[in-house]
Amino acid sequence: MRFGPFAFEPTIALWFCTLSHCLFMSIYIFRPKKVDMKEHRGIWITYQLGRNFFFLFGFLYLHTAISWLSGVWIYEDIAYQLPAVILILIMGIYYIGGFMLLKPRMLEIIWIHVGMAYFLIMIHLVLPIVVNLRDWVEITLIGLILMELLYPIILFGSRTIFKKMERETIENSGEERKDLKKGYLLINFLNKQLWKKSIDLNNLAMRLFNWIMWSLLCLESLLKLFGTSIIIW
Amino acid sequence: MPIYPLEKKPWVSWFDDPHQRIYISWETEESNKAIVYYGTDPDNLSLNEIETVAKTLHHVNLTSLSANTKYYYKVEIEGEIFGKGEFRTAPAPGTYSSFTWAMISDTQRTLGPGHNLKTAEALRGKNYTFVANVGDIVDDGFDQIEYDYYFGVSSIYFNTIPFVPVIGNHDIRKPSLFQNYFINSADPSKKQFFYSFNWSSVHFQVLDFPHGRQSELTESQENWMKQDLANAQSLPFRIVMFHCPIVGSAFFGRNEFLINNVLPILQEYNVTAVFHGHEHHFERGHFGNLMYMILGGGGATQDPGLLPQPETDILTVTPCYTVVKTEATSLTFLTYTTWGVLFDNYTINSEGF
Repeated sequence: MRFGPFAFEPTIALWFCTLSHCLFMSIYIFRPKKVDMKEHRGIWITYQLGRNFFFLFGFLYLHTAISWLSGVWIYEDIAYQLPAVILILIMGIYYIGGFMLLKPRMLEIIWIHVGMAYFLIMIHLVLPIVVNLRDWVEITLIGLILMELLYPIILFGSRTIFKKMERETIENSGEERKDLKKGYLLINFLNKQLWKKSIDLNNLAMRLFNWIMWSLLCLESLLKLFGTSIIIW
Repeated sequence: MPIYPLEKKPWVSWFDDPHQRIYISWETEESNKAIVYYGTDPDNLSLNEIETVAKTLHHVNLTSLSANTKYYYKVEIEGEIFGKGEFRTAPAPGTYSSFTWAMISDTQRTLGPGHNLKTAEALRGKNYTFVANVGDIVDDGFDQIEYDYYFGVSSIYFNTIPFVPVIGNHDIRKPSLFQNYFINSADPSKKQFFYSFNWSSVHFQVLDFPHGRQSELTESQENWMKQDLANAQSLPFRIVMFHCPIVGSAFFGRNEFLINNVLPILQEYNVTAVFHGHEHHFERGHFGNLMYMILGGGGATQDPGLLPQPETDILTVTPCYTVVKTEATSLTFLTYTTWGVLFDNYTINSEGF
């Protein structure tokens, strides 16, 4: 089996990253304050979708940055590519770290591992052997986005099943039902919150970080559109 | 972002004998007839070629030119100057004089003008004898807009630098559109895009290997390639250009078909250097005495050079272009970033000349 050296180009990853951080910032600025998510399913689904989206794309940025940093560099590459590589490296760590620090559930951890496995298989096993590379890059990215969309459906579905089973258990509390007990334990396990650590996105340092990174990403993306970078004018 | 018109300012090209005949081409939105005035004195363009048929895409063949001579031209449509420029003819066969030419590749734009614009700006106003583009001139060969864009950007240097095109895998998506703009034969039934010419001490051969597949090594191309190289053995240098690299350090790795079927021909006929595009990075290496270069820094986003091949000598993932200073017995390859930093300097000397 051939292990391919494929990685996204930092400029492509940078453009994705800029778009995703613009999305992040619009959610960050306009998010409703003090909402009970248990009462608002739409907001809850959007929140779950966003978390997973930012994790998997954070993984893509991190993969790109690490691949390039471990590749061949000469001084001129540093001048042209390094700003984008550093920016996507920081954002990759930020998105992944943010995900891990916002009370992840077991199902999410399993799902992101499925997502990472899919991404690595596509990028290192499938893309190196296909003839029409561009189409397959698009298929890889579309697949990644579909996985994001599928995740809240699975999470929402599992929660609905969990609640239904919970109700049935209460109604049938007098009876011994082994199948229900096993299912209940499984759903309960998948919905288990792994830890309760959380970051405060409202503190001054985080606000500054988000705005500075957003500005740098937009600036570098615009410069790259015209063949330059922050270092080269 | 600028939108480029269908109208294309004049460019100069050739496919066989640039010491005495070249083509001047341009495109207009409306069908018309033009007069090309040309001569060696920019203030007195004493010669002319008059079109007899009205058309939109114009290719005017200037013949009986003097060798190693600088010419000026202007294209006049209905009394108004449509475009003007200059070119130099090749030295007569058997005579050598120094000249400088440039090479770029993969000028296709990816999500915006990218560094193709910077590459074109780097060539602006230079008096290189010609610029060779080693394929993937446009990103989507089906799309007329891509050609409008390419010519729009390149017009900033096409008035002073003639153009030597090579067909790439993106260009070949609609070969008829590519060959509308870039002629490589007087015979319109010729399907593949291969041709050759001599310039001073160098024989240039352009081949049609956009993907590096078996089907591209047709009997006609293979026979022509061998015969053409055999005829060029008296010259100090033989340069071959085709799009798909024999080996490359980004995505495509080793092309076993080209290694087994084309590389032996190049080595048998003492080819000095072979130039490619396809992979979007700059790479220089060698197969024994045969140097190869991948010139994919012309415009598209760059590919990661993560898997250097045993043949690789230098690799960079930076927008760039290469200038070749040619003397009677030496070729010096200078590769610059689009912001003007020289990062590769390599010289080949011809022994025995």
